[in-house]
Amino acid sequence: MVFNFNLLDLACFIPLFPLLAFVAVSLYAHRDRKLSHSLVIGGMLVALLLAQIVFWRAVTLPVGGGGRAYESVNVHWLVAGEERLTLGVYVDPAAAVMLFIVPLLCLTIFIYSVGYMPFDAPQVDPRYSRFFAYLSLFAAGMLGIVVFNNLLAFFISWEIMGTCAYLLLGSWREKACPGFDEITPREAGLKAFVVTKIGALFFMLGLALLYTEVGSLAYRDIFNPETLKRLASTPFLGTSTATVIALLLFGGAAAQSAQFPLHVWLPDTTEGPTPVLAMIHAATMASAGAFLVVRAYPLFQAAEVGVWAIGGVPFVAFVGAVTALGASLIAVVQHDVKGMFACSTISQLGYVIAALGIGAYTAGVFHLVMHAFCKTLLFLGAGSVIRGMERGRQQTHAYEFEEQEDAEGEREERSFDPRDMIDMGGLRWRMPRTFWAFLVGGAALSILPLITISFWSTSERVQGVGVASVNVLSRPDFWMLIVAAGLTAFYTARQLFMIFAGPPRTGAATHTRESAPSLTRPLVILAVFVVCLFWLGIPADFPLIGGLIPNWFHDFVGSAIGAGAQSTARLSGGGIAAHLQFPLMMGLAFALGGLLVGWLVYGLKPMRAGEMDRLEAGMRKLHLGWLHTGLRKRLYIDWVYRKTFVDGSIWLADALDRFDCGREEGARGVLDGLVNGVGSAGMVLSDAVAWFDTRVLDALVNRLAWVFGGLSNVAGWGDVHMMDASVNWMGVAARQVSTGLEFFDLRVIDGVVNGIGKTVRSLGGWIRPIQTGRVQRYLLIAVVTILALVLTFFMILQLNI
Amino acid sequence: MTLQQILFLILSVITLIAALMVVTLHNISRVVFGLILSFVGVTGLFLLLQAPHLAVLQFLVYVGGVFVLLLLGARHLDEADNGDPADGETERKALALLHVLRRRFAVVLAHDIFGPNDREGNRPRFGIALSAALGAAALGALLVWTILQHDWVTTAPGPVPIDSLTALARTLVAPYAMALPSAVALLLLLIALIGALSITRRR
Amino acid sequence: MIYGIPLEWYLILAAVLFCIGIYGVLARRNAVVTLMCIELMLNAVNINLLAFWRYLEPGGALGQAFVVFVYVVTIAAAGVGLALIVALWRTHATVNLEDVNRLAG
Repeated sequence: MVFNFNLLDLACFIPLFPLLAFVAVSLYAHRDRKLSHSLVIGGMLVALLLAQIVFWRAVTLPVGGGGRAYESVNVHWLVAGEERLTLGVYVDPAAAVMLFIVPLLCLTIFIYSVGYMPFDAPQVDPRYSRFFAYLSLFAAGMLGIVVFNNLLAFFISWEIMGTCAYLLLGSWREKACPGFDEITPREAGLKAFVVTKIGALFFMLGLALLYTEVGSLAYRDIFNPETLKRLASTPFLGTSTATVIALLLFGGAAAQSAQFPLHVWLPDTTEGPTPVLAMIHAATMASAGAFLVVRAYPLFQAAEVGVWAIGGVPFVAFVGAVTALGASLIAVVQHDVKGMFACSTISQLGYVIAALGIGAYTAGVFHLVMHAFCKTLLFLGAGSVIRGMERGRQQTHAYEFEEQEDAEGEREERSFDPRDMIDMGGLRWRMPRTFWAFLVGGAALSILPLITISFWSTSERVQGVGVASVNVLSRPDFWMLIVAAGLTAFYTARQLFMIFAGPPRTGAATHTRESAPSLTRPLVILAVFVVCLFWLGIPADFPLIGGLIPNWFHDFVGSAIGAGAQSTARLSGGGIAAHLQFPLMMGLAFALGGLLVGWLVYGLKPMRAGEMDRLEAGMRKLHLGWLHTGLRKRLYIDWVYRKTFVDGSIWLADALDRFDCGREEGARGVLDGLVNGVGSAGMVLSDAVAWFDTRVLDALVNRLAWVFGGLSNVAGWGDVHMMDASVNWMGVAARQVSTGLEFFDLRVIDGVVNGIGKTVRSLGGWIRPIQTGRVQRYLLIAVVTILALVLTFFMILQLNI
Repeated sequence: MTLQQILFLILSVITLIAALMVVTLHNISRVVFGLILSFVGVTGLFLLLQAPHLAVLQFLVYVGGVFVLLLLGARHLDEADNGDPADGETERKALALLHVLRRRFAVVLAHDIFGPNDREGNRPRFGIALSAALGAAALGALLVWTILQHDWVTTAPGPVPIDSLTALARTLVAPYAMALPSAVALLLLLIALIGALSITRRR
Repeated sequence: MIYGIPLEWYLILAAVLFCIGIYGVLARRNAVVTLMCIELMLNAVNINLLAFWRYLEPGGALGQAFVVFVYVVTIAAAGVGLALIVALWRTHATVNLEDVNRLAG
């Protein structure tokens, strides 16, 4: 079995090791907690090693025709008659980049989880090992999405991730009292599962349509130009097949990446443990949705998504921009550390989708990658802050009597939530490393939308229309993204100042300490990566800092769609057209303005203890309190969904139940009534037949009997008068004979009969003990009898032959 | 010795040892384990016989269906020792014999087979066990001798066609083949289901 | 000879497995374990059928179809058997076959 082995073939083993770790932990190691987390981290390390090998090999691959994609078809996977599906690896630049970041992020999250989840509690907590097992499976699913070469394996890994998200979010499922968002962890997990399943439904419909049209789900069959051209020109439901498939796939991606209107599950995930949130929001699940669009990008290009243009903007980009703006508005008013990040994730993913929708492929991928790093860093930092607050709370309870006369006494009566930013403050000096990590992550997150906008405004699609005629300012999605960039900067500044600046606002905040190294070391590693990777992707035309380093990212990733080495051309070519600089300047102004406003509101005079959130106070003063509440409640979208879908389904089920069974008090349901009616009809019918029988048939029979009665009377007369004499004489003679026979009968025949009976009874008495009533004895007798018969049979055969 | 022969030997040894575990051991957990091991062994043998679809079916039906059923049954119907008295002479003689062989594995195994009443109260009585073993052994010897006597395969068997699954599907469903038996089989399952339900219904 | 394995090996294996199953059915007292031994016997039957199919007529599908029917019967038997055992347990509070001798006499 000789075949060409390429280092890139190793990619097929990358998801294997976390999967093996999952199997090993759930089957064998679940009692030993140290072994569990060691196995999981070990599996991830191996995956990281392999991924790095694959990545560096992929980077050095020469550019082939149609971009740098490596594929190796390994195995025939599902065979059903003549249909065969193959399974193999597909490594193109986007996948290589994801392979670089995903194992790294997952590994840092795992190491962080060891310190974050309480594991040396006195009693064995079986959930600890299960938690790590599910984390490993989650990572395996994400790696499977990245590595495999057909959409069916993609979908299967997608579903694995969805299941793991549900399992992990419900980790604290016995926490029945609702948390910050008035939803219990169990409901949150269920909600995430259900909403992403709606997306999976769309995804599956898209897959089915794709398979019907193309006959295969492998990337090399779907994404080659002839297939795409055919799909784009086949009409379907009024537009082309490619459009319908792209929209269906986008539905799946939108649910997974929490785009409007399927974003409702993401903010509620804050009920789960923080490392899980980091995985879901940053490293894996939400990124997977965007990755689907990245993967299927040629399909999206071929689809006439412009037909669905809204206000001159393609549909996908519009959804992304709306999400970006809406989510950042909601994020501004959140109090919960994790909740803010959740809304921020939705907003940033909106940026990614918007970039991909408008054709800025490189921008989208870059934003995705950097967001993954930044968000992981920020979530892990948030976890560190939360742990610090909890520790401070424990300390405070020890000093409870001392604190009573303090000004914040009234504050303490409110139920303490370590996630509420109102209760924090002044953590800069108490948790310095966490602070710097937050700073790096926050700064990167504020600048990131700018980079994307700058990519975006100089992207192929916008520019390709014609440099002179493009008016970026007239596009609504541009404005939405710019405003969202400003808001991003604002809420990042708000958060930084609320948590870290000024005096601590509660006793808990006063007594926090820096977290254990197992929590802060991953933060440091991630911060370093964020700073370094940032430089690799800045476009050449970015004012001030662009062009310092060649845009390696653009070259590498852009070669997937043949964008070519644009950055080097720019580097040498000089500046960009003046009218395209204006949007960049606007974006910069908005972002810096957002930071400035944030500093003015929150940083100039940091919040004191007992003070309401300044934004809230300001809005109430401007009679915009209703707006604030609306944004706090996330624009009431959850409420709408609950009233319509959830309550509607319950009402429908109730109505159907009433239709079927009816109520207890006597009102019969329609179906039951029908069934009972059929039964009653049957009974009525049988009554009628019975009546017919008794009245009609019996009357006939009686008449007939009367006739025969008459006949028999005549015969009786003849018999009595004539036959009787002879009969009587014969009878006397017979009596004599019978006496003789009786003697014979009694003595002889009875004797014989009784004798037989006695014999049988005694025989029975001998044989009865065999009938023990025990089945197995009978079976034994059967087996022995069969053997005897067969042996006899054989002996007869042998003797005769 | 080709690879497949070795594989066959390994699989058949596993299956037989597992079957022996089922019929001799008394610890219900070990019996259950032996059962599943035997099913897995048979699955392997099916794969060796180049019937992968039936191997999957075997796995699903037996491990997924029958095994789960029996596992639940064995767990829930586990009964306490109902005080079966010892069988007397033969039993004591056997125990004495075993005390002589002092090796650990044999003692443990024998304890399993011949030891004092454990939770299930399942000790074999030598009389019935011996006669059953003799009967089964005789039957086995007879079958094996018959098999070896006969000349089964005269020509070399052909390969399995690629679309054997399609052919199987057609056979099971086509009216000119086995549509009627399939319908009857489904009816049988329905009746078995209804029967099982009605037997176990609580009044 | 497929892969160097003669047909007789499969047949002998099936026969031995069958006989082990018969021993189990006759000698075990726990009814559930007896049911398990019946499954062993049916497994042996299946091995036999498939071996014959493979070696004598691999092109046809009747052998495999027969195996499928044996599965159907197996499932039905296991289901009804366990139902009977449950009923036994409910009425006699025992699954020990030694104690079930109501048909004696």
